[in-house]
Amino acid sequence: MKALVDAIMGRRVTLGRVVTLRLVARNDMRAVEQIVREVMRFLDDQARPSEDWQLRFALCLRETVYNAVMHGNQNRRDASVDIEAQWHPDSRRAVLVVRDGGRGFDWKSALESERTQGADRVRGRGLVILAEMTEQVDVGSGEVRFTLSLPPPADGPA
Amino acid sequence: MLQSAREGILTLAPEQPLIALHEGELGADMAEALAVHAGQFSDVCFDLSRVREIDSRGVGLVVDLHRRCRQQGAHLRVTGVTPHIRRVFDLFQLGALFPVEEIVEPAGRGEA
Repeated sequence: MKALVDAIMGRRVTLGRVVTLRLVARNDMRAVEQIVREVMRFLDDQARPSEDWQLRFALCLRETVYNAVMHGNQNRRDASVDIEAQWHPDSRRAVLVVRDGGRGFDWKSALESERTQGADRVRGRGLVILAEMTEQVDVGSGEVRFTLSLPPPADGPA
Repeated sequence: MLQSAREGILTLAPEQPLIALHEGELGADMAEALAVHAGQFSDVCFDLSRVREIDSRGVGLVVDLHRRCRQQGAHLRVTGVTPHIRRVFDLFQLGALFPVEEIVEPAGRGEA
């Protein structure tokens, strides 16, 4: 298990009101669940989101990291993946940024390609999940960023 | 993965999240169960009542199970689905491929 423990390192940074967790992980699918645990623990500390919100965010996080490991970095073991989880308390938004060594991709055409495949396909669903389960997705050169907001807090007891 | 075959129904019940980390193991378990019980079932029940998380690879596993069932002349039914997993299934209209039944919470849960 040592390789997995070594596969990730991170730190928290506070800039203004925005709190950020930065992780660097080896380009290894086995590191993904550790990344998910670290990011979800960070967001739980910051915002105490509902279980449903956490399941949704973790799903989108997994899909984004899979994409970076397998497509951006093309499964190269000598590559790494940078993950940045931001919590914006004023707008109650969580932003996830994943960077890899790739050149990026055409989000619109890749998404359209996934959408037009038959329901009985075995692969090719990650981008649809990202598009449908988040509020915003931005794809740049070697970078995918998505945003998911939390609902306003319920009023406390009078 | 828990499994049982009785009265023509093969029930498969994964105990791990349906995510990429477990894709190989779950796929092998499914294939083995279908082979071991071949000819003994006409229906397959995929019971997800112990599963809270799924990803694109997990969806692919369920679709692949559907394909394998059809190849063996059997019908797949997916049961015990949480609202989260249902939402993911609905993104891909999986209900058009096979019946999907949501998890039934015990009566009275959450009441004072």
